[in-house]
Amino acid sequence: MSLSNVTSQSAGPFIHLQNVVKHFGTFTALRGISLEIIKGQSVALIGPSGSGKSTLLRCINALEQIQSGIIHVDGERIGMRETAAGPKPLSAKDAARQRQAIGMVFQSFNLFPHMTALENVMSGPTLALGEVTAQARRRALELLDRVRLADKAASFPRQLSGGQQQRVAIARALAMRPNVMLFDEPTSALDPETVQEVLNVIAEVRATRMTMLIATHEMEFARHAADLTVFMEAGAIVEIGPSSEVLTSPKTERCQRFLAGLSGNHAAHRM
Amino acid sequence: MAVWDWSVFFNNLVHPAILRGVWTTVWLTFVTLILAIVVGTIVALIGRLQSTVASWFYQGYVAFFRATPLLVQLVFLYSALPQMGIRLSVVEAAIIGLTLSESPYVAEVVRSAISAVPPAQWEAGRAIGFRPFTIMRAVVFPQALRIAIPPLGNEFVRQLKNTSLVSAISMAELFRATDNLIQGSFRVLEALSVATIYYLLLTAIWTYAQKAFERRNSHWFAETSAARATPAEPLKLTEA
Repeated sequence: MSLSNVTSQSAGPFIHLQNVVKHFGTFTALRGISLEIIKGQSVALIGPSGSGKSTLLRCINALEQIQSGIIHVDGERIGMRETAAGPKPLSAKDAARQRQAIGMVFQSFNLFPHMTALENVMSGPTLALGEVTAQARRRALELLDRVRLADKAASFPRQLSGGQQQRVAIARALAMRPNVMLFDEPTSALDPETVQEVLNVIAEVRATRMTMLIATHEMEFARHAADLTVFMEAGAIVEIGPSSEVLTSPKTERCQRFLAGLSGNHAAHRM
Repeated sequence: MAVWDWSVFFNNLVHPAILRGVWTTVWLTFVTLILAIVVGTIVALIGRLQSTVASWFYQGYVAFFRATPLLVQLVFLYSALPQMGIRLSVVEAAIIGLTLSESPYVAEVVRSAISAVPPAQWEAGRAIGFRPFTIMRAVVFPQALRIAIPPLGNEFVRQLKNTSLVSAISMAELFRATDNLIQGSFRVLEALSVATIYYLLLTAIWTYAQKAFERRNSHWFAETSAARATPAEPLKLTEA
């Protein structure tokens, strides 16, 4: 671990949200979210659809502009720079550089359809970091091997199942050597039989002590793979605590109701 | 005088002036379409800038060059500009006129092809940390190209036919060469039939080339070629 990691860890939370507000027109998606995540922590975001889980993740790597509040990752203010005249939005170049350290995995994979699995994984290091092809290629093959898709390196996304595409997407994000990974409902678009292969890969990423946030509807996975669970509703954090507590004996009535609603249907046998 | 004279027909078919005219039509089509693709793409990219001035420029440009007939533009470039002290040769006027009149159509094709690439692709590029230019070049453009090829192929055929209008400013392309032969022999039917055959032939060759190009550029998209890429192993849609 580098010195800078040690200092940023001791200086405070690795991801720090203070009073983050996000509007879409007249709709308020996030109503003043504050959250602290320390380095190496794995955090699950749960809650009903439209509660703001995805928006929260998308604000952390500035895919969405927030209207007020402050987000810091690794001591750096996201999307803004301090000037004598107050904070100003980052230039496109600096915003891009900031996102390079924050990996993101989307619900719908969003692989580049005109590139093979290997080219997808190589794309970040070669096109964003200017790494030489041979080196990027070697590392991309290692990563594909890690997500058990070495044999699919030459396949195009359309030739892969959803679960395979999502594992390529995870490898593509890891290729940038991020120090945070954001998973936006990574298994929600998958066939039930491919969900587990993706969850296994995410669990392996967690085992490397990666700091990560996962918006998910997989409660059993959250219980095993997340140190903290955050329950959100209507753009606000309703309950936060160790996953074992929040998911087995929630304190708030709303969280109880949400979990009870889930166990009423498909999740019954898992809880 | 017979209705149809085969010897005139064959004589016209291989007449050096006609063959030179065919060649002029071919290079003029290629050169001006390529220039129109360059100009049209630049105009389309300007049109995508998030600025009112850029948007006005785009709309004004497209409206102006689409609304004025190519024939008027050509005569203006060749005959009206000298009055303002700008003297263009026939070839220069032909190239500039064909390029400018074609560029708004290309701009519209490119603009719509770029907007047809899903916004999620931009987002994926941003999330990796690509700069906007890199996303455009490496992610969006290759996908937009696949979408743009069929309509651009259409534009090629249109441009091929449009070159016949530069005969009005005395450029000896296929139609003008044909017309010259008619002036000498008064055999209109044979000469125009020859011109028609060459136009059909050029369009047919182009259509074939375009199909090949489309296949080459969408191998990652087509289901059939996807299956061909992994012959030993059938496509697996799910994996336990």
